[in-house]
Amino acid sequence: MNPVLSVNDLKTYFFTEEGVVRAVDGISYDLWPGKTLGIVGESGCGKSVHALSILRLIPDPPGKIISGEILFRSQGAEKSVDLLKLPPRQMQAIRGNRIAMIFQEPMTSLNPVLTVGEQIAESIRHHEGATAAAAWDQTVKLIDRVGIPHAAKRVFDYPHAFSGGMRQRAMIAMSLAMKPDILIADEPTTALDVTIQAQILNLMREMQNDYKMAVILITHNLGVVAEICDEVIVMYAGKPAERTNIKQIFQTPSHPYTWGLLNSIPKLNEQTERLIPIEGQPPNLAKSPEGCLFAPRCAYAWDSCRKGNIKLLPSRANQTASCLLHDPVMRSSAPVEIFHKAQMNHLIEAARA
Amino acid sequence: MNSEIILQAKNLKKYFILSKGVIRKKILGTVKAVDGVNLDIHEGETLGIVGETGCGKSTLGRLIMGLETPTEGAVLFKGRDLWSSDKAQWKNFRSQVQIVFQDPFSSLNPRMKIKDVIAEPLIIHQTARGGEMQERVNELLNLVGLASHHAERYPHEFSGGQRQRIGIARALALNPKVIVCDEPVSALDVSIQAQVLNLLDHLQKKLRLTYLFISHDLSVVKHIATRVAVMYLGRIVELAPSREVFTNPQHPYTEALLSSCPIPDPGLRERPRILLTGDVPSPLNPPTGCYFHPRCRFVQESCRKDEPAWVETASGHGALCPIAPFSNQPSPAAIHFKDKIETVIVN
Repeated sequence: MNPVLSVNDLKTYFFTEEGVVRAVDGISYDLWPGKTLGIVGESGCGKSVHALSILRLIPDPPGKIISGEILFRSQGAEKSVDLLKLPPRQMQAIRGNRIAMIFQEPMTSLNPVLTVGEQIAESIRHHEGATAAAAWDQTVKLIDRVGIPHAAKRVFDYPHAFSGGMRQRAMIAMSLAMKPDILIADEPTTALDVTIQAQILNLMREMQNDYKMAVILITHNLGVVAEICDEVIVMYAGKPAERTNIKQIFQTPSHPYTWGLLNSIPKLNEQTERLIPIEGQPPNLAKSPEGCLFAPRCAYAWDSCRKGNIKLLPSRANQTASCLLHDPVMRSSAPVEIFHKAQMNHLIEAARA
Repeated sequence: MNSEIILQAKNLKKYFILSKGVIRKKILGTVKAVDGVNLDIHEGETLGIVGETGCGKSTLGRLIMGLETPTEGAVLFKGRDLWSSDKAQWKNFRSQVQIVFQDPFSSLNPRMKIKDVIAEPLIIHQTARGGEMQERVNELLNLVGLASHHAERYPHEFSGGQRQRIGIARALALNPKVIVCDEPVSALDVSIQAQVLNLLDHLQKKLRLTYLFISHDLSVVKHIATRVAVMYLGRIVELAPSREVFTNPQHPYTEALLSSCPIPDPGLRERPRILLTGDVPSPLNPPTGCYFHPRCRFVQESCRKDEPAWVETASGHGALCPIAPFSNQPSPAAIHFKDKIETVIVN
C-alpha cells in the first residue's frame, strides 16, 4: 500500500513588517489510507497553516510556501503528484473533491444567503457535472446520512436555522459529497458542546469507515486525539516536537513539551493535587531564538539546546522527538541531574540510557 | 458540611421576555434562563457549576453577584436578602463578592494602564489612596505572579494568561470573601490553563477564598471543585461532592455528560458510554414535566407530566430525578479514578 499523502519538509513563512514568521518550519509525514493523523499543538503552533498549505490556500502575500513537497496519490492512481507544482486549475479539481476540509466555526464556513441544500448541490454539480435534479437527490441522501432528521425538508433551510452541531453535520455532508481521499478537519468540534462533540466524533468515525478515507485531525484537545487518532504529531512553534502512534504518545512521551502538555491538563479519571504547568509563554515566531524553540520553557534544557538546528531523532521504536536528549552524541554533554530527571520521568528509554 | 453558609440562592428564577417590534411590542415567549435554583455556598469551598451552552450557568452566576434582578426567589448573603438591602449594605456586598470573567481580552479596558485597572476598585470604595494605593497595587501584582514594573503597561502588552492574572488581581483588590469565576480558563491554551488553575488554588489557600466556579469543562471542574452542581435548561439536576459526581453519577444527564467528555487515554476509547441524540431543547419552549425526558434512557410515563422531585441521600448527594437515582445499579458511565502510581520529578 502507498501513502495517500507524503509531506516532505514543508515550510510556510509569512513575510510581515515585524519580520519573517516561520509559521510552519519543516514538517514531514506520510498519511495512510483509512488512518487518522492527529496534529496537536497550542494556538500559533502552525497546525492550521500547515493544513491550508496542503490545499494551497495560503494568502500570498504575505504568506509563501518556501520549500517542500506535498505528494498526493489518489486511490487507484498510477503515480503521485506534487500539489505544490500543480497549475491552479488542476489544483482546483483536487480541492474540495479529492481533498476536502471542514473548519472550526461552522457558522462562518457556510454561506448565510444560500440554503444548505443549494450549497451542497453546488459542489456536486461543479465537481461531477451532474444535472441539477441528480445533484439534489444526492444532497438529500447525504444530509440524511449524516443524521439530520427530516432531510428532505431541512435541505431548504438556511444555515441560521441549524444548530451548531447540525451545521457541522452539514459541513461534513458537503465535504463527503465527492467521496474524498483525504478529509482535513481543523478543530471540528472546538466550538461545540461536549455532548454534541461526542456525536460529531462518532459521525466522523462512521464516515471514515464507510468511505475509507484518510483523515488529518487538527486540534488542541488531547482528549479528542485519544478518542479518534491512530498517529500523532505534536507541534510546537512551527516545528514537529514529537511523532509517534496514539498509544506511545500518551504512555511514553519522549519530548519534554509533550510530557509537559500531558501533565498540565486535568484528567477526568485522575485525582491530582497540583497540575504541573509549562512555565513561560510560547515564543514570538518573528523573533525566534536559535536552537530548540522550547528551550526557554524546558526544565531539561542545557547549553547545547540553545544552538544549532535540532531534528527529529528516534527516541523509541516507532517514535521520534526533536530533542537533544535523544541524540546519542550530544546528550553526553548534558548535566547529570538533567539526565537523571529525564530518566526518572521516562523521557529516555531505560535500555538506551 | 460544617462551615458557615456564606451565600444562598432560594428558589431563584430569572426569566427573560423575548419580544419583537418597538412600538407595538409583541411578546414571543419567555426564556427560563434560571428556573428555580436552590443552592448553598459554604465558606471556603469551591462550588463548581457545569453545563452546556445556554443551560443558565452564567445567568446564575450573575444573579448571585447581584448583577441581575431575580424574577422570583432570593439571594441571601450571610443570611440577609440582597434585594432588600440598603445602599451601605450593597456597597459592602459589592466589595465582598467579586467576579473574574472568561475573556481576558474584552474584560480589561484597553485605554487604562494596569495600575489604574487594579486601583479602580480601591478608589471607588475609598479603601486606599496615594502611596498606600500604589503599594497595594504592587502587592496585588506580586500576589498573582506579575512584577511591579508591569503596572505601567497597557492590556495589549500582555498575553492571555497574564491578562487573566490581571483580572484576578482586580477581583482581589478589596479582599473579597467570594469570587465568582465565570469560565476563567476556557479562553486560554492548555499549558497556560494549568498556570491559572494553580494560581487560583494557591490564592484560595492563602486568602481563604470561596469560589463559585462556572465552566463547561468537566475535567477542569473536577480538578478544582469540592462540590459540583450540574445544570440542564435552567435547573440544577445533580449536586454532590466532586468525586461523587464523577464516580457515582445519579442523574441520567450527568451520565451522558461524563460519557461524552473525551479522556486523554486511548485505552479508555472503548469504555461503556451513554450518548445522547439530538440537541438540547430550546429554553423558549422546554418539554413538559422533566426537561430531560425526551432524551432520557429511564423515561417513564410520569416523567412527561410531573415536575421531577429532588432526591437526596444523607451524604448530601442530590439529584432531580425520582426514577433513576440511588438504585443498587452503578452507572455504566461512572469514571473509574486512577490513583497516580508514579510520582513525577518536577525540579
